[in-house]
Amino acid sequence: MERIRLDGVWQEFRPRSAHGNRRHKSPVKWALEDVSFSAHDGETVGIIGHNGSGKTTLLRTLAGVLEPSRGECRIDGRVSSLIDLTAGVNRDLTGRENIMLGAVLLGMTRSEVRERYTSIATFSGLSDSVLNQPLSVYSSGMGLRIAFSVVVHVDATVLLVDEVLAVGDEAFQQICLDRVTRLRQEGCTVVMASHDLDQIRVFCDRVLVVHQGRLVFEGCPDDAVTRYGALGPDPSIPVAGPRPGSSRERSGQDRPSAPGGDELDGGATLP
Amino acid sequence: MSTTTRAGTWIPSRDLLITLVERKLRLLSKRSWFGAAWPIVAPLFLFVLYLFVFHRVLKVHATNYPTYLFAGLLPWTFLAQTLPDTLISISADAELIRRSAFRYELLPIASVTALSFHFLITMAGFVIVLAAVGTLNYAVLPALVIPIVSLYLLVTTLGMFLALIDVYNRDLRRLLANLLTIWFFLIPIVYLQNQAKVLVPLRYIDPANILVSEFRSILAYQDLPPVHTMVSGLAICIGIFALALFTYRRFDDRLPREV
Repeated sequence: MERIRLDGVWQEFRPRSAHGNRRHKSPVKWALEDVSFSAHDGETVGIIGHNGSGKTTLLRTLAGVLEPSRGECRIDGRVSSLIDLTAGVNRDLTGRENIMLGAVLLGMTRSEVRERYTSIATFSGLSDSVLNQPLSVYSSGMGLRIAFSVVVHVDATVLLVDEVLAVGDEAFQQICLDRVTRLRQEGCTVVMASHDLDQIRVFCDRVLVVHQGRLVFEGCPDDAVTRYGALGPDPSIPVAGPRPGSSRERSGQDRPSAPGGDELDGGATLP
Repeated sequence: MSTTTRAGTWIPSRDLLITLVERKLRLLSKRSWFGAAWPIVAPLFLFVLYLFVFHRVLKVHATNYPTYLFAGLLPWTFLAQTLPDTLISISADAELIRRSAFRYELLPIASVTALSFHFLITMAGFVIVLAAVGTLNYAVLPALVIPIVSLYLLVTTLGMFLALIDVYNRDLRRLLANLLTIWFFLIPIVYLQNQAKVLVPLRYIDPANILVSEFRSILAYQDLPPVHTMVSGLAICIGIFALALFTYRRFDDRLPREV
């Protein structure tokens, strides 16, 4: 069953002056340009791209935070998202209090949160004494534990995860990935943006490469990583070596001729 | 022409409002000795200060001036304490707006609602004191509900508009305290109406002025304010609140880009 469908989605970006005021006369810029893709039950879709390429904007569009300036975005089911680690948390509130706020912000009712509190706390691996302390004494990783524990306890059919798992320690990352795997097996559609290309290769069925707001490639993880590497240097990200064959190429300039590749739909091209 | 459709899940408003109010109340008590009692202490402090300055020093005399003063000061301090807090309610919680799709007006509404509890507690204490000293007219007391609801709607509406403006321009943060001071002295709270006859017309057009008169009429004069004034005032407050809600609908898709 199709859970996510984006048809020609554009997102306007409003430049601001150094003072933070909007520049009314400046030309319209686009954070996303004509992005289309779909995802089905149990599928894990990765999103890779340089910083500022539009990954988070795409996730925010999927989460319903941003309404498309043009185009259609349809989600069938309940969305749970971990887009910003610090969002919704207050450092003066305790972990317990932040769990309630974070969960309600993800659409859980207060009674649901109370019912699942023990399970959320157990998943986080934090003791009661820690959860009763203000978040100001927590490390980033401990904050992530709370945020992720809440996210996976929402009865979601679509899970959106941004580049946040990198904050957690290795053991907790593994717990998170195991949980994501279980959610996939239960039919949850997962969309994850990450710079961790190994993680993308292991976990994703399909990967989107976003570059300057455009979807320039959609296909299998290995080919996507290759395509991503061909976009140009990004010192923070290891570039994978080229591999032959790709399943779907969006750029008219770099259209592959490999077998098994889907035809271009005449969409965006690399600038 | 392309159509646009917003995805995702709209968060149920009731549970989120309760949670935001609870968060606000909890935050008031964090890192504070007086904690949640501060909004109650403030009007009492001002009452003592104004009583000394205007009654003792400047010799403003009215029948039962302390009651006259407190009956006017109580709704005013609720308004004056709540608006600066509500002004930043959206900008300060920009991360929430960037993270989830919900009714963004819940942020200013939660801010006002949380501080309403303190107002009601202080009001209840005032009523008990009036009852104890035998200057309470129980027959008109139920009418107090109308100005209380009107005041809540007025402050909420102002807070909603101010919070929206603050997203685009932060100048109000510097201006608001001065504007509130001017507004305070335009309302006969510490002085008598007949001491500033030039300001009498404001009694009919300034909503805060009208509400102070209604509170004072019920609590200090033990008299029922004109019913048509109360009802029309309430109707106007409901109307502007609806206008504020409508305005927020227009900004649903803009706020996540602007905060």
